Amino acid sequence: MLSEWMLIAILVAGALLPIAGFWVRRPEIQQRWSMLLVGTWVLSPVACLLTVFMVCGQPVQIDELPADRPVQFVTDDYVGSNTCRTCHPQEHRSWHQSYHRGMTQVVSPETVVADFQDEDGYDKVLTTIDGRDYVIGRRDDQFMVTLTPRGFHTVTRPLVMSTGSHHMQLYWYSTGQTRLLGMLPFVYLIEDQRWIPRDAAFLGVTGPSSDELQRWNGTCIRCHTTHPRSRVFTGTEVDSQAAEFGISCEACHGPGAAHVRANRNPLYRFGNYMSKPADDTIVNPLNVAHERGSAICGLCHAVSSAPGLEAATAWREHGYTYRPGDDLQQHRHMLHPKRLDDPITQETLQLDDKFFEHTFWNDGVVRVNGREYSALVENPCFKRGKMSCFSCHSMHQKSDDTRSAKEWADDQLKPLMRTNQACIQCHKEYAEPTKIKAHTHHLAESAGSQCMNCHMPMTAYGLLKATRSHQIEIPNVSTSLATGRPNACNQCHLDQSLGWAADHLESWYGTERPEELSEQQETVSAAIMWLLQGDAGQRALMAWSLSWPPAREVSKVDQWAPPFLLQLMQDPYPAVRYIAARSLKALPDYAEMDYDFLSDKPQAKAAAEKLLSFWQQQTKKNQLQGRRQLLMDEQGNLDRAWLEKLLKDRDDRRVFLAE
Amino acid sequence: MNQDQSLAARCVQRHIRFGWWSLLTFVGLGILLEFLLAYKVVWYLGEDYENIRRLMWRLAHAHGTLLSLVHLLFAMTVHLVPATVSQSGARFASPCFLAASILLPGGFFLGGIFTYEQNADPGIGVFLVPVGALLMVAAVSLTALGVTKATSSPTDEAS
Repeated sequence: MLSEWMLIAILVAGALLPIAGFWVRRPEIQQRWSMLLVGTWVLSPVACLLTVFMVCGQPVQIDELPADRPVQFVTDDYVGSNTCRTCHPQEHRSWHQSYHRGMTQVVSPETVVADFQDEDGYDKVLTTIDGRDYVIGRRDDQFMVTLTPRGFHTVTRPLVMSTGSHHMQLYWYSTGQTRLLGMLPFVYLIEDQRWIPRDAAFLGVTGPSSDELQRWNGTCIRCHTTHPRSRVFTGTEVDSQAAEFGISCEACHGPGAAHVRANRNPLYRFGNYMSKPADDTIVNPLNVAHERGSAICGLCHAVSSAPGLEAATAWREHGYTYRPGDDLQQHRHMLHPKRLDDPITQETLQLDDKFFEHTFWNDGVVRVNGREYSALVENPCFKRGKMSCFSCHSMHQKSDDTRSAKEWADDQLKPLMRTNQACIQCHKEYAEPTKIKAHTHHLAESAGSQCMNCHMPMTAYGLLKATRSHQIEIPNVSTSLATGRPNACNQCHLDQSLGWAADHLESWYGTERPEELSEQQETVSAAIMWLLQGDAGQRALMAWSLSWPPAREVSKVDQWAPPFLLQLMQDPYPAVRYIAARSLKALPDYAEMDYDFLSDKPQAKAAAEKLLSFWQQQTKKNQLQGRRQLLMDEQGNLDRAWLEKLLKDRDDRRVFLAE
Repeated sequence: MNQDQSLAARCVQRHIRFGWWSLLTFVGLGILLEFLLAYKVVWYLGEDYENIRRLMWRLAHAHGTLLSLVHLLFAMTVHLVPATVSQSGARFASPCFLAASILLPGGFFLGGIFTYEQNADPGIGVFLVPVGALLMVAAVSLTALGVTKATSSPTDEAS
């Protein structure tokens, strides 16, 4: 500021000189100031430029950065996305509109999406499932939480970091002990504009809420930042750093210092333009072999671990040794239930014998959202073909893409990749409507003829919804029986049984019909069986499927599903209750229903009973008469005794899905 | 050489010197800006070529270069019509031109050195620009009036 005013003063003085000289009218003085003026005018830009060099040319030192939270500090040849922006503004813009960018942010009025005030404008009180209160509020541009850690006095701490910007946002407070963060145990649901306890947002058994420390520093940092260095030395001695918060340019392209150095030289750049070789100073994931290109995503989107204790220790200190374009297997150990006998898998299972149950169905198909690379590499299209993440996804929205940035950012798919075009890129024979109709036995333009609906069904779970499995498979009732994973036929035809699906698959494709189907499996809707008797993960998938538009339409869900959703709205798992309530709200007549998935058991039961009475009154029973597969009796009423009987066999094993 | 002629000679000398040195300065600045562009210097280009610093310095370069030429034009005018500076108002045009040539490009240049709101706004120096612009308008007006008076025939004056 001072130097700015000084330079302004010099300039004004310079401008006043000739005006003052006008009144002096002494030629020798005028001559002298004339020379002075010219000299000053020539030298002053040089002085100004030197000032700019001094102001802008100094790299930031680590001790100039905040000491009470993790920091962005470029090192190891990383340069940060702002540097990339100078030469690649369009790519930077599309990346900036992606949710990858906002995965980790410093808390500020611009980055916070949650509401920190109650309806009366006071600080908001949030309560955990086990009844602990947290008071959150805003003081000018600072966001604060007042909490009482177990065994400690009440403290007020600043919320300094956030995670997520698409579906949910979580917040982390500074503990005041080095760069150690504590977790605010609540999640803000962006679409619902609502805070919920963190335990309710994930599919796991809820217990006493904990003041989780180190979670961000030890775990989240790994995939929610670029070039993370955890640097957790002891319980409170933490110095977490990342080249950049969020998943930025260099997460996919590798460190950019050499690229920047080389490309500052215009002769190098124009030489490259003329000869058109790949610029080997940076990695373009599209220009490397499909295995290595996909592996870039796989660093985070896979079930993997450090290849040994030594590597894990080195990672904590220096970050990943993997760089985009490398062979990921050399740097990370891919964990898969099919490879139980390898030593690192054994070590992992010794620490957590249920590890694979958290992430895979029992046949090795990925069960959770966010681990798509582990599924992709099992596909023949990847092993024998050239399918990669980039066959369908694009990390930058192209300039000729007519979709809105928001639409593109949701899954970052290339145009038309939600259609059969995704598969037709290689399987060109199915571009013909007659061919696809003959193959699917469904109308060519129907949801039943969408390749992905049958071969990539919605059997992965995460973020309070079902997502597509990235392991391409052929619908098979035997697989459903062996794994509990819904098959595509029954996930769409929610009112049909496994026996019905087996019959169709046998008659259409010659798929061998399983012999061991029970009477219930032959007669009762598979979806109802899963939602009543499945584990929490299966129940969540079915709760979601009941509002999936294609299934809703073909299965006439609106007529019969409410009592089953009401059952799920009394589930022990809050996440299942939430999804079921959301699905019920999607049905006509239930949008304004009085139910809160966080209410206690008696309240939830009372609300469900009330809504069940409402359904019984308004449903057209003649459409449900005798539909035994939907547990309806001859009068079109729900056979509650049968429902209760099926419910008794519910799989109540503890489920935790590590999405 | 009478007093008017001597005054005119000094004025021509001053503006020729200032004009050519100023032209050298701003041509030099232009080359420097080209260099900063070629070498992709981030603090000049900004993160997406829309940096306020870049805009300000380009304006400084353009205004400085053009004003240098105006000085040469003014010197040529006074050389051709020495009586221009015999008018006291027109004589004041000379320091106004000089002050405007400092404040206009200088204001832009300073406005690009210090920026505000993450490069969305220029520095306070940019407030010198309107002052320079007013001086410039004054200088051009006074010159125009001076030249008009100096070149008017006695018949014109009588009428």
